[in-house]
Order: sequence, then structure tokens, then C-alpha cells
Amino acid sequence: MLYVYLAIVLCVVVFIFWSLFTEKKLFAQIDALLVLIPLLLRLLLIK
Amino acid sequence: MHKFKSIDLSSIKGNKISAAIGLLVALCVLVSLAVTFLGARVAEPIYAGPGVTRTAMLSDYFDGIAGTAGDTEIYIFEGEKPGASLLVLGGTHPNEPSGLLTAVLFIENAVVTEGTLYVIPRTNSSAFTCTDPQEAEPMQYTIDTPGGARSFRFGSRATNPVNQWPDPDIYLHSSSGQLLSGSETRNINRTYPGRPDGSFTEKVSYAVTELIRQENITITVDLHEAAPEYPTINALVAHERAMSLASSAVFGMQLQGMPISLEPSPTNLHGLTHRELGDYTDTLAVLMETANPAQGRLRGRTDEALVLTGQDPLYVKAGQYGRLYVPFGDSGHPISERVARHTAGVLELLAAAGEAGQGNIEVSGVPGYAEIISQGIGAYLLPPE
Repeated sequence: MLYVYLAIVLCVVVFIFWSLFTEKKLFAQIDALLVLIPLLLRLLLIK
Repeated sequence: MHKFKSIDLSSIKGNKISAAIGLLVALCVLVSLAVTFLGARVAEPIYAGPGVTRTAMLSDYFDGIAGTAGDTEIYIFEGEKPGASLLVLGGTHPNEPSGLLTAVLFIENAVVTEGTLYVIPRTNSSAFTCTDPQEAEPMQYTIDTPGGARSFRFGSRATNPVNQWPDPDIYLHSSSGQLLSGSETRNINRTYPGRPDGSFTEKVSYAVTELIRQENITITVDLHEAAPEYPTINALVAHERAMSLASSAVFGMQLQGMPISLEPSPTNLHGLTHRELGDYTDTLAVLMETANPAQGRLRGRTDEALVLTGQDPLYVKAGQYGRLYVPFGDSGHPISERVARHTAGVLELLAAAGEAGQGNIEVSGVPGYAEIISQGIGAYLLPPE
């Protein structure tokens, strides 16, 4: 089950990366970065 | 007169360059956070005192946790004369610091001449590597010793999610069929007696149960803290087979001037040490609680000062409104008082064991209640190396 959830997190991270580089508004990019940090921490099983 | 144009911040444009710069900043933040969170996995040193005859790892009793964050040290004190044995479980809930500190006090001071003492300072070692989300707790606290300051990690009530994830929606306790909230699957004190093929936390509790079975431990005491508004506080909770032993210990503590109550282990609440270790092993299982405002719902700022001093004006007010189960004055419930109560309780259990015909465990070198209150814990901890 852990690997299923990690795969879900990875998919969300990929979508956020895509959104980050296609978004036209700065504050939306900042929102994406704020969300990205905890997701990467969980993907790497740091936090 | 100048007119200022209002700027619609949400309309500021971004592009691939701003995305790349932002990503770089985010990665710097990520690295900084990672260093902090990974640093919490480094255990603070505990120095074996003169009475420690050997150390072991919990995985020696169940190899299913070997090499994992659930494996933890056991400090063993073997007296020259055989006798009864007692296991002290500290750090079952690492956000209850008096459990860990009492265990460390015994490790660094106790000398056993008869019987055997086992001390596990960090029962749920995984839970020491993180704090509870949204509680704004400090990551560590510091105790001053004559030889310098020593830092100890302030952890979580439950296993670190990186070691056991995801939580189920509902936690089914396998041996009883009890249903609890899914996050309780990471609370080791809801997983006893554990399972060898269970979750990470169930494997750790199974290893503790195996230690008790294999070493035939006479008495097990689990050290905890509770919020002042929680009814089971300043109490000894005992399995029915341990009632006689626990009542002697309570009597002894009360004679020393410590208000403490005796609670029977409820038969319909499963997974706890005082219930399951008493049901599934021959040990006499007891759990002790002291008052800790740092884990209460009525507290103010949760910082190191609150953890150490136990002083909180909001709790003083709550006490005046009659909302608490312990007296709460301006002096609060400092960590020295909480450790002193636990230490006295363990010493009373040791004394009661002999009187109850369980066999003797003679322990010396451990300070008493009055000494810890007057000198503070730091006076009895070894200086940092």
C-alpha cells in the first residue's frame, strides 16, 4: 500500500511541475511551490 | 495630490524563468528542512551508569524489527543474587518527556544487587524522530547538568509516518476486534500484544511482549504523562493481577506526600500495556501517569519552557474554574516533579515486589522524590561527553 501511495504522490508532483511551468500567474506559481515542498518531503520519505 | 494606483497582485505575470527561480528557492528550502528532519533521527546519547551490566537490542527478542527504526536499546542491570525482574518502559509516547527522563535517570544511576532491572528508554524509537503535526511543539529540550547541557528530542505520540504509511481509515486491533480511529495504528500503546506479521508498530510491540515472555519479567511499568484536564492523571493503572502490588506502591507514594490514585485497567479498552501485557504474559503490568500541560488542549504557547517548567497561566485559570483533575498553581508541574513522581513510583514498586512475595529486586543509587525535587534532574544526569 505504501508504494501505491508513493506512486500517487509522484503523479501529483509531476502534475505540479507541469503546472508550475505552464502557469501564467506568479502567485499561482508560488502556490505550486508551497505545495511541492511537503510533497517532495513525503516522496523522499524524509517527513 | 498624488493618487496611488492599486495593484492587483493576482495579475502579476509569471513565466518559465520565474518558475525556475522559484523552484531553485524551493529546493533550497527543501534541503534546509531535510537537514532538520533527518537530524531528528540522530538519537541523543545515553550514558550507561555503573550499574549497567550489559545492553541488548529489542531485535534480539524479535528479529523482525532488526535494521529498522523500531529497533531500540535495552539497558540491563543484573544483580549478583538472583531475584525478581522489573522492566521500565520509557518513551512509549515521546511527547511525554518524563517517561524518557526517568528511564535515563535509572540507566545512569541505578545499581542492582539482587534481581534484574531492564530499562528501555525509547520504547517507540521511531516516534522520537518527528513531532505531531499542527501541535507547534519544540523539537527538543535541554536539561542543564553540572557538566554541561544535554539535549533530548521531543517527539510524537505515534510512530513516524515515514515508517508506517498510509494509516487505515479504521484501526482493527487484531486480538480483540476493537475498532479505533485509523491514526491509532501508529500509537504503540494501542497495539499490544502486537503481531509478528503486523504493521511496523505492531511488530515493535510484539518485540516488547517477546522480551517479557522470554526473560519471564516479573513486573512491567510503563511511564506516561497526561493533560491536566484528562481524568486518568497522577495515577497508577494496574492490571487486576497487579492490583495488590500497585496498591502497596500507591500507599508508599502517598506516605511520601504524593497524591496519587489507583485505577483498575479497563477490560474493554485494548492494546494498552496494562491490559494486554497482563493478559498475554505472566508479568504484573502497571502504567503510571503524571501531569503535563504541554500536551493539553488548553495550553498557551508550546515551547521548551512549557515542557520544562510545566507553568501555564491558561491552565491556572482553568484550574480556578474547576476544569482540571490536578491542582494547578502558578508553579505548575515542572519536569523535575514529574520525573520525581515516576522515580518514586518505580522504587515503591520495587519495594512492594519483595513484600508481595514476588521476589526481591534490590536497587540503590537512584535519588528519591525529595532529592530530585530539591536538586533537579540535571544533578543526577551524567555530563555530556
